[in-house]
Amino acid sequence: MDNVNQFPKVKFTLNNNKITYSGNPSIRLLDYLRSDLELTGTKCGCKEGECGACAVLVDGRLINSCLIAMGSLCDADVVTIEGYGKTERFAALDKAYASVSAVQCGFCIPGMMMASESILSSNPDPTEEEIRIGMSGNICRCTGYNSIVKAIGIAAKDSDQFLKDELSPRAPQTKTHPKSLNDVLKLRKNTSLIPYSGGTDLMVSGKCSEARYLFINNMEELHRISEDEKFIRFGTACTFTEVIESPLSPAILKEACEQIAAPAIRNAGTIGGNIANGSAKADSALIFMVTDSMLRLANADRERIIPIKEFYLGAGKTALEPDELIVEVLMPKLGIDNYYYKKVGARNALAISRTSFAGILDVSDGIIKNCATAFGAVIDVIIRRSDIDNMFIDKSIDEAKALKDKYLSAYDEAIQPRRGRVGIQYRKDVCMNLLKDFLVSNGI
Amino acid sequence: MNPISKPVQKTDHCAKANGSARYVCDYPVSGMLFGRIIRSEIAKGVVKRVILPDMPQGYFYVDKNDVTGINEVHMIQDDTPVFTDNVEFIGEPVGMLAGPDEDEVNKFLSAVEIDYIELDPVLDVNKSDNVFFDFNINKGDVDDAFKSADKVIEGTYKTGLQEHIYLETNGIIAEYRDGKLFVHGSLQCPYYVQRAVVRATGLRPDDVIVRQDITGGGFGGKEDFPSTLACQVAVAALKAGGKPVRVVFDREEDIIATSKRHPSICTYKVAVKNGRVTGMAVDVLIDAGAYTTMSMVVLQRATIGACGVYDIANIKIHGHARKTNTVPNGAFRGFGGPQVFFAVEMMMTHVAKELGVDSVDFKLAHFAKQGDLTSTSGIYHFPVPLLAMAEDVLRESDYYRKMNEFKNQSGRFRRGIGFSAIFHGAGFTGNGERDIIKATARLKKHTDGKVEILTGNTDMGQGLNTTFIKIVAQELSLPYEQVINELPDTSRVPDSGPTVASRSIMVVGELLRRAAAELKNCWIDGEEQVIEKHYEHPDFLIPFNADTFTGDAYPTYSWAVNAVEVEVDTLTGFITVPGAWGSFDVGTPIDENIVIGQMEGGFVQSLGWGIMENCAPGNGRIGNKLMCDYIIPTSLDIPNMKIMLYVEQYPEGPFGAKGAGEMPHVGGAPAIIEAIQNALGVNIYKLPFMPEDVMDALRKENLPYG
Repeated sequence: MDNVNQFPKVKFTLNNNKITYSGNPSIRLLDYLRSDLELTGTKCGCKEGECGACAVLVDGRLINSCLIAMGSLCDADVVTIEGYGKTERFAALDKAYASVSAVQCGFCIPGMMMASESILSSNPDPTEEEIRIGMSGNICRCTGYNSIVKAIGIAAKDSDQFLKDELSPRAPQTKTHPKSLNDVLKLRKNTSLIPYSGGTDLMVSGKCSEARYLFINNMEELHRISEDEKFIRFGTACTFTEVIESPLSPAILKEACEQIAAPAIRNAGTIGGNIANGSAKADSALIFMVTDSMLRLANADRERIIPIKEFYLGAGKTALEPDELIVEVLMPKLGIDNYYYKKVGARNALAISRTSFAGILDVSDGIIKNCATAFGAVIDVIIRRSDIDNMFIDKSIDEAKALKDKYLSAYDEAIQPRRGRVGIQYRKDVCMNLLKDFLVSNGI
Repeated sequence: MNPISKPVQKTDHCAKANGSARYVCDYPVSGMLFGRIIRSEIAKGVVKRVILPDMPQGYFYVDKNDVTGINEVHMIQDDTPVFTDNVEFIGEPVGMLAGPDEDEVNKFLSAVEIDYIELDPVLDVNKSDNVFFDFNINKGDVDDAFKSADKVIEGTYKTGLQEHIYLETNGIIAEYRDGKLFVHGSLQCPYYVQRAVVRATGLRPDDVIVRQDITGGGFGGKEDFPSTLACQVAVAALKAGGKPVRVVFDREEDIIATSKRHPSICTYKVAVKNGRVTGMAVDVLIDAGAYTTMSMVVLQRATIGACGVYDIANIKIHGHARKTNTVPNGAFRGFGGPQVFFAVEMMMTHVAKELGVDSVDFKLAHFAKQGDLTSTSGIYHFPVPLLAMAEDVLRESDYYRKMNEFKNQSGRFRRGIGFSAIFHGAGFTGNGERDIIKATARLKKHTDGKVEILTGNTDMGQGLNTTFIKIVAQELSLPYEQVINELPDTSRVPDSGPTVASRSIMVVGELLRRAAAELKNCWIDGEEQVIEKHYEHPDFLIPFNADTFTGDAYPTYSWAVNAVEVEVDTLTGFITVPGAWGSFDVGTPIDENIVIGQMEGGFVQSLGWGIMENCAPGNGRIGNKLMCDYIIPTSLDIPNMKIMLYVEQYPEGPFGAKGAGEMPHVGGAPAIIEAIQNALGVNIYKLPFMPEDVMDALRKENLPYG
């Protein structure tokens, strides 16, 4: 079963042409465009989603074509620079770029054009900050970005083409996934296919074309965001962008998701993948940890709901059984409004957490109802020590103050960073600083 | 404003914007062979045996035994082998595999094993006794200056490796058919490549044709390195039965195996008398890596620049480049300048601090002026506009008010502002243009009245194609569309020298302007006409003596003054950059947009080098070899920079232009490091200065909530 091609045919639209693809579903869209179709306008700068030179639009959203597998493109609408370059919208943008000589070596530019379109199609009148965020996943080594930021601003101001000319529908089309969740769980049981949700981690590996994937990215059931009395429920194939855009998402989760990588990664990467890869650097997982969220895991025969803390067993090791999928994240609705969050990366975008911290203090009538903290990128798993945090529960702020030294020294002992690229002392200091700042900002 | 400065649409804009521009990686691959280089896994040793996997017909291996000419890559000295069996650094090319299927070649590559006799490498430049180059400068009497000094202040400054991260990785295609070897790819200097390939293959110069493809960024990284890669691909092409062989690096290979900016250690001893610097003794040590490549000329520039923009009567500078068993360091925008200007600018702030005076005032009081002697006892022949430029930058950045406001901060976020003043000597150092390069540029007027530019100079994004056309069109009073400038091809263009050293506009642009002026005078409608111009050394120069390092090292200088503001988060050490200002004098800008683009881009590279870019070398290996860990600034890490152009025309340059490309990479780093220094109230002696370093500095004082 392992070598069964899950999608003998992948039908999608490329630059308004209907395509039926029947090759290896695991290869990158980038390689298909450049090698099979000789559409070489889409450039390859890194093959790890760190430069944006290969960015294209998929269903109107910016996507790094190096991090997306062909098999995930069922019913997708893909636009590359070759297609976009023929539109009036491109002409207007192109004119703006030319007017400030924003094109130097040019290698980042096709990707930059797609990023520009993605910014302007969702926001015809962006601020400089919004432009900079929108292009933050597109590295340019020549310009220092000033001229490109300016060009996008000029295009927005000088041209009403962007309002008139609809390039592609912004809202994702309804997708007909060939299989129900049940069918997928059966495949999960009977094969060793690797679940593929957003692909942003899986596709970084140089050997991705040899992997066999179980594509779950299009499953409607896994994209739902809903709420019940106690929980906000996130389908695990929700992308970070979907989480950010949902009115149901709590502020703490939005804030963390907004700081993940850059738009093209947020448009593809999913919370399910973020949890499943078992990394202590996973930024959305930190939030699910600090909020003591639950995971709904299912296989073909049964399902179980476990606290997320029990899911993490070690670096890359999780409690997910080989036949299971993470279907849903259940995030408590109440008591999470007063939060503190800080991601420390090495730069402001496209940053892997060097350390991250989240804290929640739920105070009602002067009494601490809940205190929760979580530390990312310190050891193999996210640190969540409710045993220490519970020290403050049912205490007044003044009582908590009196316990502060004891609380801090417990954490001083608990936080023992593992050796890694980032210095141990540095991560320790930052963790303790942020923890103290969390307390101080709450009057403790 | 000179009318030529008015921006025009760049000639390469459309093709690059709509994706139709063809870079070396974009050629159709049908019928092509893919090559992958077998690289050493150890830093020093002798290759006993290369064990190859079984490969089907059509796949083949090449190594030094296939080099039909001399197994040396011709550069300044020829010590770099094309392929080696005597390993000097991790990543050194031992051989190459090539064949029709790229994935298969990759599989075979990972199955290759190399048997070595391992030897002890020298990885620490301080422990290297292999001195590749050694230069000395003496001016005045430095011993006397120290004897009579009120105060002697010392400092040692270190800088790290920097990787270019041009967005397009290195790539070359070579094809041998009908007795001709055709080489094309991503490169800065077609004639460097051509001469290297001739030497390595033993072919006649006429039979080796090198053409530049559209090049996705260079910054010096495609000055010397493509010669090495081209020789390797050429050797494979000679064995490929007429099929083209292509090698295009992936990012990891590009970071591991290509040249970097030289790490440096600069040690200063400064004599102060009556509040003025009267003497400087400087030791400039750069880490050359395993082979000499560009180190001699990088070291020349570093040695000459080590006393900065200051008028100091007595100086003694010793520059040396030493070998280590690490990837060879080569050309990178600024070419030795960024290292020493970082050091001297920090030194000046440390001296000012020690004297209890404002560091900006202290620097201003020491600025050289027109007529002063340079470090090599040449003369600053032209006005030095630094004071006026500094005034602009101090005003625009609101420097003094901020300096005052940022004193004695104690909260979580601390701000600082820093200042730097630098020069970049325009063109080759010393007599390089006259004695070595001897540039020739040609204009060919076709019968239809179109004028074609024929030079070996390349556009790698910096806009040279457009600016050359503007110069010629302006001089001939022709519309731009009437002037043609194709990608250089050594079978068609004369050798006008490499596209390096911020020389192309100033030197070759002037040859083209003169050719255009002559063509205008002898223009005959309907006839084909060819005008050729050769380099003439300016006669005002004091001859440069390369043995004593005396005379005019450069005909003129480009100048820059920078200010950078930072905010440091004392809880995390994270550094943000709320503002950056620069005034730049490159003479007359041939195109204002293009020059501003160069200034902004170089400025950001310099800031990245200062606070972010870290190769994490260890045990001879590049630790950060992907774009997720060798990180450079994104659009969110950089503020909207304020760039001002100051115009001090150079009479020998076209329309008053002088060098531009490299200078913006020189002053950003010292300005941002000084800003961090002022925010934290500590002295800083190294870059990159990263969050860990901030926290180390803060650990020495009480943490805000400690």
